[in-house]
Parts: sequence; structure tokens; C-alpha cells
Amino acid sequence: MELEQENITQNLDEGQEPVPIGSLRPQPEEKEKVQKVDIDIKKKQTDNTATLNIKKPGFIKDFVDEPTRNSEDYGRQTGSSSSSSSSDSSSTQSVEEIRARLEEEEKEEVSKLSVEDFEDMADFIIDLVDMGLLFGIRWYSQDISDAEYKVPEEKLKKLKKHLSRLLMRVGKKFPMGMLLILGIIAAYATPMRKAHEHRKKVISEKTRKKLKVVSSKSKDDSQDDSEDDDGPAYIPLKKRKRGGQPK
Amino acid sequence: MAFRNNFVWAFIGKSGAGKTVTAKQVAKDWKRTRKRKGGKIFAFDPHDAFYGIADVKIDAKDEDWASIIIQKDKRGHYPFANSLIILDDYRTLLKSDKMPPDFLDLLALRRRLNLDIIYMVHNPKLILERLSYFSTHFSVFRTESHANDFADKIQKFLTCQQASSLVNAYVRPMEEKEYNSLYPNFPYVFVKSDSDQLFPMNMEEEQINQLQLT
Repeated sequence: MELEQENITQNLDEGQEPVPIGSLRPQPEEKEKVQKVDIDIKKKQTDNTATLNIKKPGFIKDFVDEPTRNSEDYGRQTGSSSSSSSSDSSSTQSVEEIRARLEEEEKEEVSKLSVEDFEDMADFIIDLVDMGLLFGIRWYSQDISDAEYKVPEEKLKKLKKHLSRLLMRVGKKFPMGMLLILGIIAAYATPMRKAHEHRKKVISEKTRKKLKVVSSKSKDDSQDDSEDDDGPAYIPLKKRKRGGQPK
Repeated sequence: MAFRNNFVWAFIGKSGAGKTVTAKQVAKDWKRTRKRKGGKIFAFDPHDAFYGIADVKIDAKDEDWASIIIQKDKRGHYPFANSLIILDDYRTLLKSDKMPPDFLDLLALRRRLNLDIIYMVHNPKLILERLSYFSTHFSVFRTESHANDFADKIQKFLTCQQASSLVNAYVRPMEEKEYNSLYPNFPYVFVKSDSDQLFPMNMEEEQINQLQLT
């Protein structure tokens, strides 16, 4: 057989006619070259290598307390790697079971939060509150100028510190709904801030244009009395009709 | 999540060695952790020792007890899955030296049905050969059995022999009253069928070391 295989490889190397794959199949004689092994299924312990292992008193209790695979889950894959298995098990679980599982997961999730997480959360919340309140104050004041409405940085820092401590204290009792809301806020914080900046720019541009128009109009009014204007009369953008210049 | 395999746990020891007391504690712990899963405790309990702990009592006349536990309901579910079965002095439950077919079915289905099993015997000679192959754990209490009794019955017989020698040597200096005063923490050696380790329970380490020295 080895000789045959050598010939085959030689043939392949020389670039001659390809060999049918069937010829590479092991011969039936080789199949029979299986060693017979006697296995004694009643074989018992032969070497005495027992060692002492002294455990704490709670060892048996811990052993008994270890979870076993539920009868309903028999044959299913374990772990979060298989999403199909988790969806299968969730379909057979009752609402109460799912609720209990979610409660446990929530507790785990909150307990996993670090100090940095709470500080980040406080940063986001204070930034958002700051932005919202300043926006409200500006709207209330009817101020369309570029004047800065700002809370001193130090005060903001203090507020963030207080809030992060407060969040840490209530962390374990933090409801999942609140976490979700905070998550949404945190996710949208950056685009909202950008939108606010853009809005500010647009408003200031509009104001600038308006002021320009008003000043030119007042100029025109004063000029009308003294000399005739050859150019078309100014019509505000909003009032201008479609179809170009009036006849 | 890591799961432990379902146990078939043999408690071997002479009468009054503390098998039932220890098994009761195990049953209590088992029940506490599985309260929410609705698992039941079935007990063949001629001495009524598991009164208040067991949910279902098996009588010696209930020959089809194993069939009842593994039966399916109308929806095709196993209503008694996720349970613990305690067979105190189990040989009195069996009419002959042969394993009943439904008991073998129960053993075969124990993982499918998430069944934990504890059985108690006075002597390793009383363990039926087929049951010994299914046994995953042994708690060896003081016995009056001969070392060869283990050899005939248990695959890990050398480990169990050593366990028996250790616990017997440990309690030998004790008088009956002194031994009884250990209640409910009776000394025994825990052995796993897949390990060569002896786990002495309720035994003082210093005394064990002294025993090994002598």
C-alpha cells in the first residue's frame, strides 16, 4: 500500500494524468487491521492512592446546595453563547420565573457598577440638567443675543460630586427603569448638546440678519424723504410672493 | 452556569452510626435550596425519621414506587421531576436480590428527571451490584463490615476500605455514650466515585493525624 501511495504521489509530482480519488481510499485489508482490546467493564480499583482532604464543615452543605440541571432544561445547551437555547428556555418559562430571573440579573448588574460608572452617570445627568435649565432660562428671558448663560464650573463640579455620592448610596436599590432612562439620556447627551449648539448658531445668524434688515429698512425710510430709490422696494422674506419680482 | 451532576449517594454504616441524622440534614439543605423549583422529597422511611421533611412517603408494600416517580402526566410531562429520593435501609424495600426493572429505569432516567438519590445500608454487602455502578458518592460511617465486603461491591473499594478503616479507628476509643453525644455531627468519611480522595467530616484534624502516625 505504501508503495502504491508513493507511486501516486510521484505521478502527481510529474504532472501526469490525475489519479481517481477512489484509488486513495484505504484498502479493505487495512480496515481489518484493528487491534482487539479486551475491556473489563467490571474492572475495579487496583491501586491504593487515596489521599486525605480535610474540608471545612460547610463542605457537604455547599455540595448539596450546588444547582443541578432542571428536568425541563435536559438536553439543552448551557451558557449565554447560544441565543437559540435561551429563547427556547424563555418560551417554556413562566412569567414568574422570568420575573425572578430578571430581578436577580438586575441586582447583579447594579452591584457590578463601579465608582467611575456612578461618576460618569452623575456627569451626564448634571450636564443635561444644566443644558436644559439654561435653555429654559434663556427662553424665559426672551434673550436672543449671544450672551452667555453659564453656571460656574466649580459649582457644577460640586453638584456632580454630590450626585455621584447619592447614586452610590442608592445604587443597590436603583430601579432598572431608572437605569434605562439614564442610559437613554446618556446615549443622547452628545447629539442633544450638538443640536443645542447648532440651534444657538442658527438663532444668532437669524438675529443678525434681522438686525441687518431692520437697520437697512430704517435707512431706506430716511432716504425716501430726501431722494428717489431706483431699486426694487424691500419686501420681507416671509411676505414675498412666488413668481419672482412684482410687475 | 456550572451544574453538579445528580448524585446517587450511599450512606454506609452500622445501626446508630448517624446515617439517618446526617441524611436528614442533607435533605433539609436540599429542600431549602430547591423550594422554588417545586422539587419533592420521596422517602422510604420505616422509622419515620423524615417526618416533616419528606413530602411523599414510600411504603414497603408500594412495589411500583419507582414507576410512580417516573410516570408521565397527560401532557407528557414528568410531574415528579427535580426530586430527591431517600431510601432508608433500602434492602427492606426490595423483595429479592435482583434490582426491579422500574428501579433501573428510574436510575437510568435520573439525569433526565433531575433526581437526586440517597440510599442507606448497614453493610456494603447489601448494596446490589447494579446499584453500586450508579453510585456517585459514598458516606462511610463506622461499620462492622469486613474490608472485603467493599471489594465485592464497590468500584472504588480501596478508597472506601480506607475510609472505613479511618472512621472506625477514629471512633474506636469512644464509648457508646460518648459517640451518641456527638449528635448530630457524627463522624464519617465522604468519598467520590471519581476521586481517590477521602473527605473526613465531623472529625478533628489533630486526632486524624495521630491516627495516621500510629
